[in-house]
Amino acid sequence: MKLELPKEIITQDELQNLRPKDRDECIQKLLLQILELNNQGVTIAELADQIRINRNTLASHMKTLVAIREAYALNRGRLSVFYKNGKVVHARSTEHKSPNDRFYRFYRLDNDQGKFIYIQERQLDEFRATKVRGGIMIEDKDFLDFLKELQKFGMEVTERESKLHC
Amino acid sequence: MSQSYTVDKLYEDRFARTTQITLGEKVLLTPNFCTLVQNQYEFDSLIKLSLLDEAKYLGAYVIRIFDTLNTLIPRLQRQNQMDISSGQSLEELFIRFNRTNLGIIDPATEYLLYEFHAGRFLRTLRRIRKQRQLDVLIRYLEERYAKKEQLKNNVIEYEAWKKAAHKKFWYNLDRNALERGRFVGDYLDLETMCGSGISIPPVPIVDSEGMLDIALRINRLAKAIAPRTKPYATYLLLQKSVLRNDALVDKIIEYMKADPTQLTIIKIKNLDLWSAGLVRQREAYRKLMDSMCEIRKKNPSKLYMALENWFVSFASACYGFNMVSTSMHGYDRDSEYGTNTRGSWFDPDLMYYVPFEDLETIVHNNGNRLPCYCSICKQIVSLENIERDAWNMLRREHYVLTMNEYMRMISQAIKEQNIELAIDKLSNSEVSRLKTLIPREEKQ
Repeated sequence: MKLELPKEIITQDELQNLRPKDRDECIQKLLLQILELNNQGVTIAELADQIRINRNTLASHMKTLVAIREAYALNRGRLSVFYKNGKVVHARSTEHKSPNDRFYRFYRLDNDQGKFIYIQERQLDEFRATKVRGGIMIEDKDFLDFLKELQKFGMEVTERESKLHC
Repeated sequence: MSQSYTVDKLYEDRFARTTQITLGEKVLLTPNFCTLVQNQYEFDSLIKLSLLDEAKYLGAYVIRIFDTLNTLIPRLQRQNQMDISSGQSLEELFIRFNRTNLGIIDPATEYLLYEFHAGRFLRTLRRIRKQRQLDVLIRYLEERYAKKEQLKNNVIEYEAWKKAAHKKFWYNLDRNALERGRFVGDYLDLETMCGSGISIPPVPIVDSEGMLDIALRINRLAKAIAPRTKPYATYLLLQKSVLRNDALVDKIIEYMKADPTQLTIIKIKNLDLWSAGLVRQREAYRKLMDSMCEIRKKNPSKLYMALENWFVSFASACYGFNMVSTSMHGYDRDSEYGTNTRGSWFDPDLMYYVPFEDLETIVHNNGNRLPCYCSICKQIVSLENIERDAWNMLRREHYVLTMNEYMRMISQAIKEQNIELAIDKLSNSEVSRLKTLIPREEKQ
């Protein structure tokens, strides 16, 4: 199927000459733009056909985007179809910084699969640029249970720690 | 999730509108005045001013990349150090300021051609870059300095060489995809390291079609590689002579129409539109702003920002631009201002400067106070005993608050569906020629 592509796509020559870090950013950005333009979902084969980037490279970047929950995949038999991870309905910008420069952002997402709370883990790198390190998505209806369990778990851990110290 | 602004329209009056821009915790009301900060004293002042209730329209600040070494970087480094007695960060005030104010780092690439800050630019680059970042830029600047020394008795020859070398630098960079990719990537990294809240590409100063093409290509490349966790801006850095070139202005407008980027930043170096005999330039500037309004009508989330906008700020904020910026003393031509003498005072009614020597008469005729109601001018009771440095800082603070007040006035006029008030204000000022920049009626 023919995919809708962004108007401006960086040339192959330019892409090859970028620093590895920039190349990764560039490909991931391009993939996200394509996912946004193609709501019906895209496959690696379709992408490889139309944007002339190596299939393995595309698959590995798509895997990264799925891991950090910027995209999600639905498996249909042996085929994976990728989608952009919904529209941000609400984002909380309070960033709780810890001494190791990790912090978390909270989003509320809305997509075909339902409504979700998405917690994204971010970290500042040596250039003080923010990198997404991971994330977790919890369905709306499960969120309160999740919080209760998390609190229970936190209490258990603290109790055990304090017993050990005594 | 990529970072982008949310733009909510508040009020609208024909072509003008006020909006609220939200980026995380940062909320900016437009029209907004972004102060260009040049040293640590100005930065301290701005942080102090931001605490005032009246400073609602000062949501962002601009720092040139070579000024960050004395302003932003030391504070960013100190913000994680704790004060033992209070348990708070040493830079608690700055942290609070930075949480609600948007920091913009100006790439300042025009100083690859201009002389004034080039030395500082080179020294800063050498100090803040990591590993062998931006070698190509440093090599160019070093070569320029060697040549300057060699031709110190022949300024004309040096100027000609410099122009040619500058052109050659950018054309070579444009031809070599590997160097261009590294250069743009390294520069964006450097901006991030200096605390920038927006990625702005390092583009050449445009004086010809060739340079504009290079600038557009760099914009496209930077857009592709800029970190998606931070907003990105299209940046156009123009020489004032561009306003006399209709073909270039048309090309810029075409690009702006097709460009999907949410924020576009335009800097016209040494912009002067208020002097006599500049009808053509004023027309071209107005044409640029017409197109901005037109684009914004189709895409309401589009934002435009003008850097180093000098006296034109008021007219720009009324019509085409959402955010305007000038230096803290109001002058945007490279020179030493207010260092050896008591600098001029910006008259809010005249919208122009009054020399310090003339102020005594004005104060005398105005019941022994300055004709301004800002909280800074209210403090000044006598001009006689005021120290030179203290005066120069107060007049800067007064200027920032005056610009904040102008932005408030424009917002109020839009809210009351009476934007003509802004045109009348310009008509009664010393820069009345600028009134032609704002249309009376909406363009159909």
